[in-house]
Amino acid sequence: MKFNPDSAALWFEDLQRYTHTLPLHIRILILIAAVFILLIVLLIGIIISSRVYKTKQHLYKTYIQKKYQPILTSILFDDDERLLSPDLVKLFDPKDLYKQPFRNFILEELQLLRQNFRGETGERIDLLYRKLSFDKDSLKKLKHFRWYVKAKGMRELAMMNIVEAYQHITPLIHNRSGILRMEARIALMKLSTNDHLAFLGQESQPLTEWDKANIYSMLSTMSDVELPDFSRWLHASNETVVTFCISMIGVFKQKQSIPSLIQLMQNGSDASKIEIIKVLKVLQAKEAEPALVAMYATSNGEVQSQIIDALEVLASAKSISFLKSILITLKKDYRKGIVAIRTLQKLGNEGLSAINEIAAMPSENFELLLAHANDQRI
Amino acid sequence: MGLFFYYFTRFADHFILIYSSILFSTYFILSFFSALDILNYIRKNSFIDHRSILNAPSAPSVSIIAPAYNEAATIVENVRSLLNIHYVNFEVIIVNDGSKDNSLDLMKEAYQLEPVDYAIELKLESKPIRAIYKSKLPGIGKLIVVDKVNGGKADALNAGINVSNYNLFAAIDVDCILEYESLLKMVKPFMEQKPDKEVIAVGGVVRIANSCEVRDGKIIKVNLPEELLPRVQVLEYIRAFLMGRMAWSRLNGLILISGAFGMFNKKIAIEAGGYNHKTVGEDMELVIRMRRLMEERKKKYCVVYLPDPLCWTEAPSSFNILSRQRNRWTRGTAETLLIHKKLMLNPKYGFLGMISLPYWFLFEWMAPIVETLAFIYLIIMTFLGILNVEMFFTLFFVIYTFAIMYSASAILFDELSYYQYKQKRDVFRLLSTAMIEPLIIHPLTVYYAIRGNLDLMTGAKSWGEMTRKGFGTPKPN
Repeated sequence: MKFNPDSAALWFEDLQRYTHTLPLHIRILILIAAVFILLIVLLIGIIISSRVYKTKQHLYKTYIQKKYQPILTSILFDDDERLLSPDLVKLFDPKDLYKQPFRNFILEELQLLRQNFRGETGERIDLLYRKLSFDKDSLKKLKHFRWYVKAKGMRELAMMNIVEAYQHITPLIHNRSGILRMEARIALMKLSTNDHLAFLGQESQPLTEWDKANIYSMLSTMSDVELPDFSRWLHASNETVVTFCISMIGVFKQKQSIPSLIQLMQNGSDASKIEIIKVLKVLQAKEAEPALVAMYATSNGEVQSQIIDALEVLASAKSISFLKSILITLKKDYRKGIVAIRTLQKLGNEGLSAINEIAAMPSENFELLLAHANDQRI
Repeated sequence: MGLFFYYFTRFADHFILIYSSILFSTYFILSFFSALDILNYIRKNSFIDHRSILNAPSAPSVSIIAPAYNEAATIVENVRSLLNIHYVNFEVIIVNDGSKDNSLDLMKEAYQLEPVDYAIELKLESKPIRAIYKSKLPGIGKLIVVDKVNGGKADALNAGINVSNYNLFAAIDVDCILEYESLLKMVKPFMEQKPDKEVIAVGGVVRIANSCEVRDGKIIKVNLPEELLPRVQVLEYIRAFLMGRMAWSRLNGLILISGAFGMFNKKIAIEAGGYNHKTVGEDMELVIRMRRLMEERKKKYCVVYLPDPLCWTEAPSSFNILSRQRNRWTRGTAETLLIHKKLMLNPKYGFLGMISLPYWFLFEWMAPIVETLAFIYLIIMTFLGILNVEMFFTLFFVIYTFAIMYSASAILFDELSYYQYKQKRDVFRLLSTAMIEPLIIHPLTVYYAIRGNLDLMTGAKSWGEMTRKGFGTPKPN
């Protein structure tokens, strides 16, 4: 069948005439449906283009990988002198070298390698990164207005040890974006030459537990650096910095800070108190026992639970009457009772006779708690 | 009479038109917010290594609570899968909710369970606990099995909370498959909470596992379901989870975290009264009650939703099972909204009272009812011979094209964010499903929802048994 433009035009005219006879609201609805159909076509187009783009990208990556894998392997792993030569760039096709997809791909590869290699190979990766001028790209990213581009740049610079970037990164620890602040801290820890945690003194925003986990995670990978004395920040104005440093004293067993911790425990915030009590338990700071017992009555429920927990390790015979009174008055919080019983059990005959005395008293739940405490499987 | 009829039909025509327009507009708005949030989340996540949590001294401990009722066919494998979750400090509490089959015996045998003298503090009401078991085997110390009198899912979860030792608990369907890093991802928002804004609950995207290849309790290959019914549910889940709940989370108005997998602040859940035994929508009801508590205390809080696929579940593949599920969902929504009717349009409850609950009332509970009434109205009009045929077909066509467009947007969301269905034909199969769904499956789900409402009125309380086929195993080469 042949297409006849005249009959199509006639058909279109008929349609137009017909739609003009329809009421306005129906014409509006037809228009809306037409918009929806257009949008459907557009969405399908985007979906298919996205698939095509993904496939093309994959093919391009495979092509580049095939082309440059031997060169990268040779210059990074085989002591290839060409890495040091000024002609290094000649190993790369100029058509590729200045193309953004190529640079992105090579940069990704270098980052992946850098994550897995340290020592001499790591240094060679850093050198190649500089020689291909990726450091300039990353520094440019630091000035970008989008937070995720900035963060990407910072990550690259930190990973490739570009020490000169330190001064550019420092102001970013006060940025509005939490991710940027986090990346800035990690970068500063990596790039600083001596005081790796100096930024803690400048922290203006509260550190979340997630921030703390990341700082600790970074710190635990830096086995070659000297750890600071964390008691240095125990009186920082940012309370979350204080609690972080308290927990680090425990993690890195900085026992010399125990007196400062006991002192802070008596007048610090509840959050600091909880953290300090946990750390005193970890450090087995027996000298904290009297202070813990003394502050129990004036503390809130959470701090009280932590005190009982800590006494499991720190208690001596001096705490028996205290623990006994806890058990006699205990109405709820079974966990506290179970820990108190277990602590008494550890305190030898005196502790056991205290348990027997309480058992002889009328109590709703002591028998239950005792049975639980005696069951070593739970 | 004639004048009344005239005004009635005028009102009905306008009501249908206005209701649909508002519904479509809210879908548009929600999709917009959702797109923004997913984009932001993915960008943020590209800088995040969740493994940092594993070594962190401050990593929170989590109690995973999984109620089990007549799960003998898969219970041993499912427990093993839960014990192998990639996390540091956790315990797995399996609550055998008075199963009539041999679930408990199988667990006892497989994990060499023995009863222990556990002192249980009854913070929440639940049916009596018969015994608590721990394993004799080394390396299974994280497992606690609670055997209790049957009381339903909410009751079993409350019993699990009473036994749990940690400050966060994850409620999970025992037959769900968790993603490798799901617990790490769920815990992160709790670690990110600021001192002045508490995270009270976290939910994540649940995906359909039908036709996926599963080995040792893990998804090894994601496939689009072969059967039409589960495939329609893939679309429904993407629309609900990626396009709906994500936006509600951004607006801090989310009131539903799937019962299949959610994590909660235990202290607040207990203070709110735990799971409600009186509704089959216990998951939604708990979130609303926790939010209500925070609003009444005038404390800042949020319910976080993660767009990551965290949990895989088997969707009903028969109309019979689907009908029971949808019936229960409808009753759950209605019961929850009725329990909390005091909050509706009450400015004291902020966004929750003024936007979230009215939206759920108007567009989740009422939508099937409005659709059905509109359908009945059309039939009456046809019989009376006064149906405006042009209007009817045009409106039908607008709604149909909108439904396809909305589903196509969902497919695009998935394509650009998590790209789950990678085979070339998957896109076309999903698109064709989007075209069929409004004509065949949607009317049925409306019918099931109406049945749910009728059951609600007659006081039916049944949970509606879900018979599972079990997950597919890889085909031998």
